[in-house]
Amino acid sequence: MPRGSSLAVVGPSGAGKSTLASILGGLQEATEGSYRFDGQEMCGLSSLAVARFRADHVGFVFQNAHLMDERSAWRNVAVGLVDATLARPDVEQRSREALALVGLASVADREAAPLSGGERQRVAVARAVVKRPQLLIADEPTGSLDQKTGQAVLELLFSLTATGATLIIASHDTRAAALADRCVTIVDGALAA
Amino acid sequence: MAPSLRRRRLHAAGAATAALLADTYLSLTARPLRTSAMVAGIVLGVASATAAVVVADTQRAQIDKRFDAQRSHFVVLVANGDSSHAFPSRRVSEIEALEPVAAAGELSIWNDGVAVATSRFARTARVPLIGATASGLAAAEVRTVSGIPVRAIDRLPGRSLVWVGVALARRLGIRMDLPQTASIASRPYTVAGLLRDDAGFGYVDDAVVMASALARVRYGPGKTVRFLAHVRPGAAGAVAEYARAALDPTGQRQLADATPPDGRILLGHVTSDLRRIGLALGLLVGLIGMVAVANTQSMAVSQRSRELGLRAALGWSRRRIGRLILAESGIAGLLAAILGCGLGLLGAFVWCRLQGWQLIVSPSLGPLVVAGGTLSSLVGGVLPARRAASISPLEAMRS
Repeated sequence: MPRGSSLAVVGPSGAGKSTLASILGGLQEATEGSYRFDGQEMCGLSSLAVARFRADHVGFVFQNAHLMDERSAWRNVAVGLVDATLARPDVEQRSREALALVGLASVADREAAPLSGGERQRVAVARAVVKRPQLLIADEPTGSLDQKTGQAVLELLFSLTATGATLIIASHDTRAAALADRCVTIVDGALAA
Repeated sequence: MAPSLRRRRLHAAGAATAALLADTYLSLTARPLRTSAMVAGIVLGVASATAAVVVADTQRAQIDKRFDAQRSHFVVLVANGDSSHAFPSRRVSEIEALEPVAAAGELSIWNDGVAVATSRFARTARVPLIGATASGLAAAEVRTVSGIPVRAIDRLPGRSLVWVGVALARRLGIRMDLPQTASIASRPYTVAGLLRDDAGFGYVDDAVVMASALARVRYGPGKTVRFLAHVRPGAAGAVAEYARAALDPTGQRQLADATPPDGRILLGHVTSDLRRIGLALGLLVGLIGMVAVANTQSMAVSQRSRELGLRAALGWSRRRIGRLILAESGIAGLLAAILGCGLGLLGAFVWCRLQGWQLIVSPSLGPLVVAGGTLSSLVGGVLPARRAASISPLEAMRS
């Protein structure tokens, strides 16, 4: 996949969309086959190397936002900045910028608990992009959102490819397929189309 | 290493530590109840250990004082050989004339249990019979509570006079407002007065005292014939040596130095016992704190598996996740140990005030207790940290 492009992985439940997304994001190791990132073979890397790959290059958006409710929105976003050597003011500034990018600058200091489903998912998107990843992986990002909010989140995700991030989205949502540069269908763990 | 590179590394290490502390602070304050539960166990443990050690130290000082009071003021020589004759009065006077000696004389236990009764029909008590000289009683700091002053004991020879200890007088109903007689080993005596002893020879309070010269005539040689000297602190050893040579130059009496044992030796044993108890208590507290932290942190790791899995998914290494849990344990332990140490000192202070003791706190106690509490908490956090580090991000995200 070229940088800045987008790919939608669609297919029925249990087909293997999430498994593929996990392998591409370094959360799971492939049992067979090969996966190269920037020319680097990813299969067989140590857990530390894979963690470093995730920390430096990959941003994740899951079906659930997985926010820490007792923390403010910007502090939730800051969790995505894995680089521990960043100074605290830089961390806060970048977190607030990421929130502004997803249109949530106004809630930066609010606790995550009372945020709506759409807002929570957008905070999760901000957390994924705050480190400016090369690869953005979204696994059913609209699965727990209503139609309108889901559409907004999809548009937000696809707009981020303009920053140079490559987007891979695993989803039931046919709108994702329509927005992506390329779409593949998986059935029973194999590419069908 | 080039200075700029070293500076960059130092800066990076500083920033990483600051980030870890900030994350730790947020995690600990996010769930105050859980943190309080973890801290409370350590606080109570550390507080009780601190209080126990401080009270033990303070008590040690009290024991020190008492040993000094006992040991340094008295010389006691016991005759194991011929005791049929009184100690030569000229020699006793020589000893009394020594600069460090306040008073010296005989204070012997003539019989361990003689029958004493105030009348034929009154109850009989079996109590020690003490044969003494006025200077022996003065050396033991025995004082007259009522009746004829006991210092007259040597000046009334041939008179059947006895003095009775206050405890025995109470038991037998002896009062000094009326002339009182008593039968001692079936012989009649006049009770001349009541005595009390404040210097640690408490058995005088529950005994009958008569002149040693009279006792020797009436009952033969005494059972435990002793020479007692009241001396200035620090002079006991020298006076004991001098008195033994003066009173028993031929060795016939076989005088043995029965001066109360050297407080420093006994104190050494007691101190080492107290230290051992303190150490055992400290280890126990450390163990309890460790288990408390391990328990609470294990539960916390289970409850936070999604958060920790998310961190792992975002690229946190296993080591960094483990370090976060360890830092939480260590900081909670440090705070708890400081708090517990303060509470323990306060408790010990209150206790010592109630006892009228002066609080003794070793300067090294605080740092030791705080370091011990923190260390035990850190050790307790090791297993939960390992568990946290092994959480699978994929499973956590799918849960």
